[in-house]
Amino acid sequence: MIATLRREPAAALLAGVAAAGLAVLIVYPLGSVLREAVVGEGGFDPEPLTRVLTNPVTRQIVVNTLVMGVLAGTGATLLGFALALTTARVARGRSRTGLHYIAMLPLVAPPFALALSTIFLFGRQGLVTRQLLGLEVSPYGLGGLLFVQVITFSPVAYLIFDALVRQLDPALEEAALNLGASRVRILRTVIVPLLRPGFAGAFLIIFVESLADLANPLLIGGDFNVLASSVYLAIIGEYDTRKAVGFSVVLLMPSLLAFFAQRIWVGEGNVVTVTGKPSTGRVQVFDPAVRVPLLAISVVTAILVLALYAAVVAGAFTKLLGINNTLTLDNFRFVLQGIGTRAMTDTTLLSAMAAPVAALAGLMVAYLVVRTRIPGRVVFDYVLMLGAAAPGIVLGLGILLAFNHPPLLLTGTAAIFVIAFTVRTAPVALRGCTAALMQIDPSLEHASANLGAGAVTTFRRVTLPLVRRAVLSGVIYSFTRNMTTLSTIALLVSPNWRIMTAQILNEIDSQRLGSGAAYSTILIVIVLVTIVLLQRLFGRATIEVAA
Amino acid sequence: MSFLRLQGLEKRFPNGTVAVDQFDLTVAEGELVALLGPSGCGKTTTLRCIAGFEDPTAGTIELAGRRIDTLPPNRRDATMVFQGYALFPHLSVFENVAYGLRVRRVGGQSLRSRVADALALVGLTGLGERMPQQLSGGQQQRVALARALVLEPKLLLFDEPLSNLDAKLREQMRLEIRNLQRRVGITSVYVTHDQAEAMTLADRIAVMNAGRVAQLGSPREIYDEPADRFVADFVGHANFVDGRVRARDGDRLIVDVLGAVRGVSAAAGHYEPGDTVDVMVRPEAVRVGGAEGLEATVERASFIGNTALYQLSCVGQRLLSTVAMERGVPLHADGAAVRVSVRDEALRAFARPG
Repeated sequence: MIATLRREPAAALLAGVAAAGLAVLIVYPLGSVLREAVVGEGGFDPEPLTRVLTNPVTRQIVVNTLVMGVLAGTGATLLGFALALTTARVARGRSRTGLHYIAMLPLVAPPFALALSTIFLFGRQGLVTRQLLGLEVSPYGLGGLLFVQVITFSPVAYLIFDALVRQLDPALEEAALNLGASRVRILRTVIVPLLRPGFAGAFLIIFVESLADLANPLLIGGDFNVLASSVYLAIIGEYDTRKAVGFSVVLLMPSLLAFFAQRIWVGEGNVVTVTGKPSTGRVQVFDPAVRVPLLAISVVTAILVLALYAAVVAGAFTKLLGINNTLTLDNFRFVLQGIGTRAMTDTTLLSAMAAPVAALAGLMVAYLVVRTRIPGRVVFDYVLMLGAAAPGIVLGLGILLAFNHPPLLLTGTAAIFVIAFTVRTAPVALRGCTAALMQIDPSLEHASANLGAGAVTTFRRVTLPLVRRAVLSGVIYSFTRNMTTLSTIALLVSPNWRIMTAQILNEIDSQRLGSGAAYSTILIVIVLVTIVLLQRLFGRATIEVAA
Repeated sequence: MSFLRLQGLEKRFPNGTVAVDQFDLTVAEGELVALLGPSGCGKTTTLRCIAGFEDPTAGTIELAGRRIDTLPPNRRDATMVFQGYALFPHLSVFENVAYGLRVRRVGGQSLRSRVADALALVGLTGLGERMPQQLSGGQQQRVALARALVLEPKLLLFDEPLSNLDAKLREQMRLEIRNLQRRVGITSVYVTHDQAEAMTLADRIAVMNAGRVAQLGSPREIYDEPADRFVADFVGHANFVDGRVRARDGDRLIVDVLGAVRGVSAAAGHYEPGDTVDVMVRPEAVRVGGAEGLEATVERASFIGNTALYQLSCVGQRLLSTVAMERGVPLHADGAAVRVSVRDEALRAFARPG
């Protein structure tokens, strides 16, 4: 450490700042949850944990959670794979571009939107199930929950496979073809084995996301209780912190295991490398045995996704979609004349404050890990990743417990939201910046030093311009995610600051589905407008770096 | 006299491998010395130690009478032409070349004229506004050269700068770099694994093997009087045939080799009468087709264009021979019986290890 201080004083200073920040904002909150779970009034007392694991009712909740995670992970991974294969190898031209955007659409909207429109379309009074088909079905329960989660999380798998399939050398497929393999056989013996890291990575990431999902289990889970919603209900409904902490620690374990298993097995390169030359021209188009099922899956998915989004907007502009389809602006009037206007400005302001902080935090840790020789620097990476690995509700609970007493009494302040948003989204900026930094040949920075530039000049004039794109993506991602997250802030809401997702939950809880849809529509519009604006402002100026 | 002096340089990596071992080298002002060796011989590590990208574990580096091994890389005044060029992809050609000047707070007219001069020197006038990725490989190479030269450094470092170019262009750039370096008179260290490149460019060549200097000398010395078997084998092609020492004659040996008793030059080493030695003969020194000489059989004849390559079998030994060809000169057929002769001066003996 002393040697580092002498050789790289700037790096040592950076490391000190990062260590202090991570300790206060991540280690301390999550440590508070763990401490609360095993320390009672009379010292060591793991009663919260034993209660969850021995009581048959709560044990069922644990089983439910794992079943949901595995099924949603499997379903969304397979759907993402099918969609990626279709855009890469079957669809052409405009239909390909269209499908590409539709496949990613669920990324930009709040999770509510899909649960809500599922109720509109396929609910007890659903437009499709009841009005069109005359069926008596209920979407509430595991089935509806999985339906929503698979569609919500499929973009994660889609993006992973899209990047991987693009990297596949078409020459391999041509070689297999040349050796007499059928297209189905090539799929089985060449493509799927080469994409194996993609399957493992996508499944594990979606498993973690599914476990962390709070909105959908609350809205559409019905009697199917899971750990995340149980944490929420223990605090909001029963004011029972120890119970919430017990659920939290049990939820934390499989989440962390799956998350870090994914990082260790799948690694950095396999998932995020998008540097491969785009394979143009020579790409093989599958024969009907592969083509037809893929196209069928993709078309059905595309129609579903579009219908679900249309239903949100339609729900916002009608009295009660499915039952009374009269067009109206009442929902918007209700929202905007109520606390909706404040929620809009509050949420946008807090999200916008946290977004650059998160992106810079990610860049700082990425730089420390990739470019300095600080001993033990990998630890920074793993600790910051906890912000994404821990379920949002657990993180929120930790922040609630950590900052509700002096010296850090932040309950009800803007700071607590900025902290929560930053911790939750900085890990994605970290991954993006790490990948960007690793793609920069170290010889560029060596060349700069060789030409006489110091560490700071090199960073400002060479490194920063080259990772600018990654930092901007980090800002955009953070902002989007902050606007649309519920789980991280669900336990932090107070009358001082109104958060839109929490308001949506209120509306739907109070059976005001129309105003919930209006809120969701506004939220989607804000997110899309901001993304476009940010890209207009900064995107044009970023330099296209040839791969 | 010595402008750059490396003394007892050693680089030991944490995993125990020794990349550079007891390395000594002096380079005179204005001289170009090539570090030549196979991959993994430590030549690039040595260069990176001079530039400051690696910290030597022992030894000192002096440049123009001043120790530089304790200075950070950005204070060494030894600019480098990188293997992959390392042009900043977000900066134009002009800004790439201007980069080091701007760091040194050169601005305005002085900056513009110095960049323009550097670009003119490498023949890139008018391309300043291009981005690096819009240039061909050879042009990128020239930008890298201009970027290093514009600072008028004390020392210029080249890290296999031509390895990404195709063969024709490589030969052309070799001569250009040679002429430029002579014209500017800048002291240079040039790392390469390509012996033709080293021969063309260098005043002296340090042949490296396993982290040490195997031989330091002019291209002619390295080729004609290799210090050991490694150098003989690595630089150019070499036949090794068995010989038996009869006697010592000053710094020459009297050896039974290729069916005759001959006086040959010998590499440093210990020789006793009766010892078996390896005797080197370059393929071009094996003459084929005279009326006199040893009997040999052509096992395989290959026509290369300006030369012919013969694989011969001669008094139980295998010999390669290259013979200059031109239109009308006949090629001996496979299986032909020929006469082979070798001048004594073309032979060099090496002691067998152990």
